[in-house]
Amino acid sequence: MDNRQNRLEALLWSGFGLLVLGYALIPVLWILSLSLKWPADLNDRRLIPARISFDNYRAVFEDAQFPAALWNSFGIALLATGLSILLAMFAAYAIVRLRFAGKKLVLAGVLAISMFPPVSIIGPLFNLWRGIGLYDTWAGLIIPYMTFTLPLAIWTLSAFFREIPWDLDKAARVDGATPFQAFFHVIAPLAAPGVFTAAILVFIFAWNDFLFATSLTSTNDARTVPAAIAFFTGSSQFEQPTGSIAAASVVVTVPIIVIVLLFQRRIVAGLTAGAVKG
Amino acid sequence: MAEIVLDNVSKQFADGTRVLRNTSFTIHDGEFFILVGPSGCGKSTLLNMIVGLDSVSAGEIRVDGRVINDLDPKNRNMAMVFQSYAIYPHMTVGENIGFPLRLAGLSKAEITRKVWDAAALLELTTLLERKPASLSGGQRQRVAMGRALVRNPVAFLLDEPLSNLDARLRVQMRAEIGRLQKRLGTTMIYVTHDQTEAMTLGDRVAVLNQGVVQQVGTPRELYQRPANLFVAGFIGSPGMNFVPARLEGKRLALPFGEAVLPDRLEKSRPGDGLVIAGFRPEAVSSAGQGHSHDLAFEARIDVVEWLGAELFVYFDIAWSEKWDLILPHLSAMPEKGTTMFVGRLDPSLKVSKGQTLRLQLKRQDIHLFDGRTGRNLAMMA
Repeated sequence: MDNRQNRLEALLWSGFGLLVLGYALIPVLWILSLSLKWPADLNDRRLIPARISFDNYRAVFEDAQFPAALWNSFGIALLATGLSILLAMFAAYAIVRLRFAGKKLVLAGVLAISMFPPVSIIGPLFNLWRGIGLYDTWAGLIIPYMTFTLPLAIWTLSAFFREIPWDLDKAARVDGATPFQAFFHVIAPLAAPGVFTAAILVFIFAWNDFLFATSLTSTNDARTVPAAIAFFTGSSQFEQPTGSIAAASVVVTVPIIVIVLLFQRRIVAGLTAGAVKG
Repeated sequence: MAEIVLDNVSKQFADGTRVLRNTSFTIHDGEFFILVGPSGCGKSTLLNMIVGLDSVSAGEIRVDGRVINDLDPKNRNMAMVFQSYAIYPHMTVGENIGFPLRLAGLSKAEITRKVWDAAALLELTTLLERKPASLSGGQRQRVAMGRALVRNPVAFLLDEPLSNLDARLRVQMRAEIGRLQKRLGTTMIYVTHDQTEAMTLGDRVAVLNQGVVQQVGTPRELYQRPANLFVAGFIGSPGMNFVPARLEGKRLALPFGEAVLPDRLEKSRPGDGLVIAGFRPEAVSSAGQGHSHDLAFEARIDVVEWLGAELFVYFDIAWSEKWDLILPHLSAMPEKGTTMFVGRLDPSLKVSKGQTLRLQLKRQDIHLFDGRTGRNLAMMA
């Protein structure tokens, strides 16, 4: 009786799981299917293409715009991630370990930034960036990405730092480490799962952003993929660039999937290793 | 190798709480020195101040004559074993032990050699490649010890190193630490709340309570000549028994009888009045074995603890109301839920619960304490 109930429950859970997975993945599959179709078949309403062609992918990469955008995307997202995580690590460590005046204020301020709607600062930022020459540059995008991802990174990392026993910092100090050495040899390695978690979140934000990318860039110098896709044109003025957009979307999704899969294993490994203490 | 001097050291936190006041004592070179006291007495703070993890609010800490108040912990060359062991979980045992050497910039070969030596001393050589997560509590404790002694520090500081071990391992490690210290001859400061550890390990012991040093001395001094009620009650297990008493000339009146003042108190000649009398369990014996000067009384046995080599009896003594009335005058009297007394009797004796026994108290073993200050009257002269 019990056994049957358990089986039913398991079935129900996997059913729901499949439902949610399907709901989330069908659009992705549709884009994938579109990207593989011949231009003439684009409106044939079939999920599985009748004929497969890689022309869309070839077209996307032949256009000078897309490889440049891909390079910009990688560069900007990676730099933003690196800088944001580095700053967040120092900030989170200080918040967790040090007593200083205005600590609560800093945390509240950090939270306030994350609640700030980005769209509200786009206008002023556009003018400011043009004024000081950051418009259409990598730095012009890296700075807002860093700013908007820092709160998340700081909160995530401080949660991880809080889990690390303070005795470890103290032991390292007594063992002859400077505060900096204690941080890099002992605390940072132990917080690695947290660092990866935060890094993934920051990277995804920077990689997927459309708002800043489209407003603060104008040429291939700094335009990232999400923005570049919007500037795709068909091969003639009578043609929709649907196929190329689909192909570019698939290409731009791949790095995210790879990174998440890669780091996810490290996150899980790190978490379980940390759990076995006692 | 170092002599550590604490000169009027105080610690006050930013919020105003004073955890340590005017502490002064000297820890001699090569000494096994114990800081003992109940939790929250400031002993761990004191240790942290010596090693440099906590700042000194007032006073001076000197090592071999040099003031180290503002010296960074990394420059003090002291090694510390934490209560939680604080082993780095991401490093192997070998890397853990070698970490202080790596920071000191020693060559790889030298680190390997010294780590091996330390591991051999602690019987850790087979575990050097293991990660701490796979070690038992006792092994982790050894790793923490290894990391401390690998670099020849001027002093070892141990913060309740045995409190996370089970009882058997604790006794074994206790002996091992004692042996290790004698062998290395390095100054060791050991913090504990366990008076047994303090008594068995220490060359000298400092008893702390509420941020104040109560007494510094050898275990024997603390046991035989406690400076005050706190030390008397804290050192020894089971603890000392306390009763109200009245002093008249050379006569001492206790709730359960009268005795002649102990000889050693004659010199200090305390004045007449109300005092607190204390006696250890072993001052009690079954009647008919001791001197005629000893104080005999009847007691109803409540609890019997027979341990083979020892026999402890817990008993009640009926006393008249006039003794209860003077209790409020003895503000230093330690509070006891019930006035139960402990005696240590000859284990061959057959005693059962509820029995009334005739006991006697050795008069020479009675301690007298001031009713208000709690100070030992024999030491006030």
